[in-house]
Amino acid sequence: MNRTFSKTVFVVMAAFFVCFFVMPIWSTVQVAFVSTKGGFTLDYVWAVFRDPIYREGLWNAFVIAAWSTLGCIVLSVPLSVLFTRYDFPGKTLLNSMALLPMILPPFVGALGIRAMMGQSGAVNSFLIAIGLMDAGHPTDWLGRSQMPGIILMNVLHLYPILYLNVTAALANLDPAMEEAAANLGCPPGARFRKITLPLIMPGLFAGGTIVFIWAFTELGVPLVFDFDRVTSVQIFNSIKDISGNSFPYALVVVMLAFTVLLYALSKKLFERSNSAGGGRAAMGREIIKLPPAAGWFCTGAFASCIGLAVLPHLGVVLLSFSTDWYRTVLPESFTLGHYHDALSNELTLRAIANSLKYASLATLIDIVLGISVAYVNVRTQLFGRQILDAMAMLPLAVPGIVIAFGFLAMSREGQPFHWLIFGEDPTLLLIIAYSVRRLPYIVRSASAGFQQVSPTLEEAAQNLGCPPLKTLIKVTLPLIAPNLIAGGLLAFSFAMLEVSDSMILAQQAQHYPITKAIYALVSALGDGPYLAAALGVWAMVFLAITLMGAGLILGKKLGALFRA
Amino acid sequence: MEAESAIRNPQSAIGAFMGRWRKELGVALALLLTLAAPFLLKPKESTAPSHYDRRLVIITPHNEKIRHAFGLAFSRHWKQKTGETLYVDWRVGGTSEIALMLRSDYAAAFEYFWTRKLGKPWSREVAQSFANGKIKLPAAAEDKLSTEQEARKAFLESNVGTGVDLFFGGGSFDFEQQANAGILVAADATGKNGLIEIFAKHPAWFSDSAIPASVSGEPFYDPQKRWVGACIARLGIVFNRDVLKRLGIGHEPEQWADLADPRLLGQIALADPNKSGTVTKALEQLIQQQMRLAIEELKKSPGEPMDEKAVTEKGVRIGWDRGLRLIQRICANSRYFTDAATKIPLEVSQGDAAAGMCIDFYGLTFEEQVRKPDGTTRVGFVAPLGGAFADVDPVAMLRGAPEPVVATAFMEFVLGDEGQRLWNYKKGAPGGPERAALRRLPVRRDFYMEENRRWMADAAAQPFEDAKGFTYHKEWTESLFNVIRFVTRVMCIEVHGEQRSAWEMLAQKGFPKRATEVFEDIKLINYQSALDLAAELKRNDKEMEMRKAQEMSASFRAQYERAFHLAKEGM
Repeated sequence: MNRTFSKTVFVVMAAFFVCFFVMPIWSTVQVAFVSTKGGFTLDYVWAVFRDPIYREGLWNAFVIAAWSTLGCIVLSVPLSVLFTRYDFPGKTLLNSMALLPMILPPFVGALGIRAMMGQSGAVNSFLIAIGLMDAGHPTDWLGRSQMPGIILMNVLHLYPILYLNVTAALANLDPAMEEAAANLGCPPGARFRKITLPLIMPGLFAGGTIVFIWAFTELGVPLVFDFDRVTSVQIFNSIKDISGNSFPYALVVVMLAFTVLLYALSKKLFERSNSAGGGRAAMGREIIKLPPAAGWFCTGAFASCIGLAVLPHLGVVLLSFSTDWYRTVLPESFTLGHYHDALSNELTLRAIANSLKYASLATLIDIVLGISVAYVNVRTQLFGRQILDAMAMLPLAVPGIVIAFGFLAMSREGQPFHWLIFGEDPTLLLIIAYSVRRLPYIVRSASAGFQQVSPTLEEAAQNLGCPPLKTLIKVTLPLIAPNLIAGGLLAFSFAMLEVSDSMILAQQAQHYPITKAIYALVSALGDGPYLAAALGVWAMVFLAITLMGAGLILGKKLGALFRA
Repeated sequence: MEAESAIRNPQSAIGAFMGRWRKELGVALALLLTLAAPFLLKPKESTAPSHYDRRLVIITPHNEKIRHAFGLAFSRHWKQKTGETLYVDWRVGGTSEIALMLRSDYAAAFEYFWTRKLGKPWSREVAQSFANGKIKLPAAAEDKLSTEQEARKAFLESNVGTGVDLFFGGGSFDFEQQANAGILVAADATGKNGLIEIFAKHPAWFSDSAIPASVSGEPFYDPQKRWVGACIARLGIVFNRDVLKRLGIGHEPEQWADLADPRLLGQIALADPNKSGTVTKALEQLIQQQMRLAIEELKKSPGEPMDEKAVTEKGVRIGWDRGLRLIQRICANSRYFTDAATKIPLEVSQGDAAAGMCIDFYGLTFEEQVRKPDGTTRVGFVAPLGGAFADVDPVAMLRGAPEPVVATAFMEFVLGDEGQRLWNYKKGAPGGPERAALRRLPVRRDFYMEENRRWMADAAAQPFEDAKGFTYHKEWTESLFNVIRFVTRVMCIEVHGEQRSAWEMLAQKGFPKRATEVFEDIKLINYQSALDLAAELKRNDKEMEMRKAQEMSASFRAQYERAFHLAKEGM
């Protein structure tokens, strides 16, 4: 394609990154390299490696990430295959519900988990009631064996990311390939290993890296378990230390470096497969209708995965309706009062409107940027394109609070980006912050799409006289639409639930997004947590309708796309 | 075909449309319904009016109930007084977030002032010294100033601001820090508005019968009038009676030492002193209590002839060691060291922890929240006598406040009768909060009289009498404030995993002598080395501090691992 066009895209993207990612982070973490006397020093960075406690933290983060990713793959690949190949009862509904685990609102999510898994929580009460547990010695699920608990929770929370990516990859796959192999006598197991798996590798890689980096830097889940020997929590704990130490910023630097390293390594190991060939499916996949027994087995497999993963959600929902819930399987009595109080709170309406505005505009920016980055990375040979690609993944690895403080610093009076704040309105700043943080989802899914679509189709269009931009819009984008939709949904949902930027950048009540409104309610004493749960349920319902609605509507179009 | 029949039969056209777009319509309808709910329930009265004459910006860690009660009451008060519509604009954050925010906001504002207004070059020296209270300015005006002094002087004489008027709530420790930095001011640029004005107008408020200068060693207002306490906070123990019973502990906790019971392993919720000055102060009081006890013991049976001074000195040393060991054992029992203050009482009330450290009104609010109709409640709160202190939640005006007149009026309102009532009156009482009782204790001693107690949610509270039970000795521990925080970190928080395993093994094996000695060994940080460490920490050399922390935590880690193995073998 046109080299000038590619170069322009590259330069614009690089400029965006330098301004809104590198600069804010650098302005925050640079103190890690400044010694007491003002000179340059690597002492703080070395100190991270010298201290066994921080070495252990890094190792634990790696172990958690590796097992979480493996768990997600084991869980989601079979589900994706079942979904694309077979027909079974409740298929469409279950497919759209598979995304539900991701939309656990912050702050109250932890309350939900505690309500279910706490020492006096619902699960223990249930086990005591049926005689499987001694009431005098309830199991302390959250206080003991924390690592396995964190991994399990990560898997249940993050598998939709892989599921979404793998399903999109399978939808893009040309069934003719598999059929050809079958015709040539290849048994199903070998067929999956030799044909299907290499062909869906871009999707698997896309989802896998996000899950890996996510789990590597995850903060919320270890905090629920009060597990403090993992790097993200160590950073979180020390960054708030009031003595003003530089050390936590050195930890951030180390964490960033490791993320880049691990990302580059996994890219080298897993992404070399050159299986872009296949192109679009030339024919529709024949969906196999299963006999009732096998069909219901599939339904059961789907339903139990989802059921297990939404236990915390169930906790939040029950909390929002309960007057008191303590040492009983179900709350003692139910009330609708929390909904009335939460929704009539003066923060609520504006917060909802703000969140919708911030998240949808951020997603829009992300789609444009994501397509550009993916395009440059996959379709061109420009020098430095891989740096751009790696950079687009980094926002996953930087603690939100670091980016947030960076944004705050660069938008102050007298600073280069002061114009981003109109008067006192941080809307634009929040939208950019959200879009930087959520960019990785779209970049990954768009890259997967570009890799699966053969460039020969674009070349054919261009040979027939179609200009490059028109080719992109008319040929490539419609072909990668499922990937973009998948990435866009993820980006939108997570932007709606964004915490750190919102906490720091939205300072006035009139600019609060919904997450900060939930936070304000959680920290109000007395019935505050219940009101927060009610508002959290509202957010979950809204996102659930968005995601499931998109799934229901697109389920049809996803199918139509590859029959066209 | 379809179109043709549609023209002929509109009914079927709608049917066809519905059939084709059924799913889309369903989804859109569901979304609209969800969005409608908050619209229908929109509140009628708002504390954030869309049009206002004046705005008061307050940065605060206070919870939503307090903000709502004070925001509403003060804007009404202001309307009555001046006829103006006031918008109380709350900027909310935790105390540590606010400290970070103030530090970086003022640094940026001063950089702007220094480079643009004064036209001077920005440097690291300037950045580090303008808000550094340790930099002393020479008395005589004609002395040559260093760059550091020049920056400090320019800041203290400036009206540099960040658009925020007031800082409301947090511990007196946080306010002292901000006052020393020069961020809090007694008066605005005109010298007329601010606390200075309130001190002049209501001298009776600042006497021993109303707000004393200090109570058991804790300052209740700044002698330089840069901040003043608005309500009282006591740190104490919140506990869950059901969990204690389940663990076989018959009595309710009364003293900090009760939290060291090994049966409470993994059931204590603690706050991190590194993130809160109030928590560090509580640990300091715990140590002081041990020092007083040790001195009393020595006085009864000195063992050898000693004069008063020698007894005190020895008692202080013994008390320090005992205090640290007590902290060590309580920490060994802990589930976590959090900085989310509401987490502790919430989890204790839900049975996820047996007991925890928390501020009085948190504990009391949860006690009320879970109270059964018959008056019993599973949650209790106690402020340990002789080990708990009364700290204040102050209010102060910030440098460069855009609305100094309104800010002064707000502070006057909070300290006056109307404001003091809001803190503790029951919901719906005359002059009390409308939505819920705040359960905070007013700072003015003259408020605690019969006619007020009638309406108070905590009618029996007597924080001033409770605090009289002991005398705080500044000279024993004041210089060790940062050491207490540092030691808790390296001895307990950072090595908590190893500490907890060792403690569990010790308890399992019935505390074998040698293993227990190894576990409790605090030679590394006895009173003398603590004083030395305090002097070192004062130098503010972060690299040295980091190395020291790593050395000490490595040493404690090794010690706990050894204690674990010794205990395992029953030694």
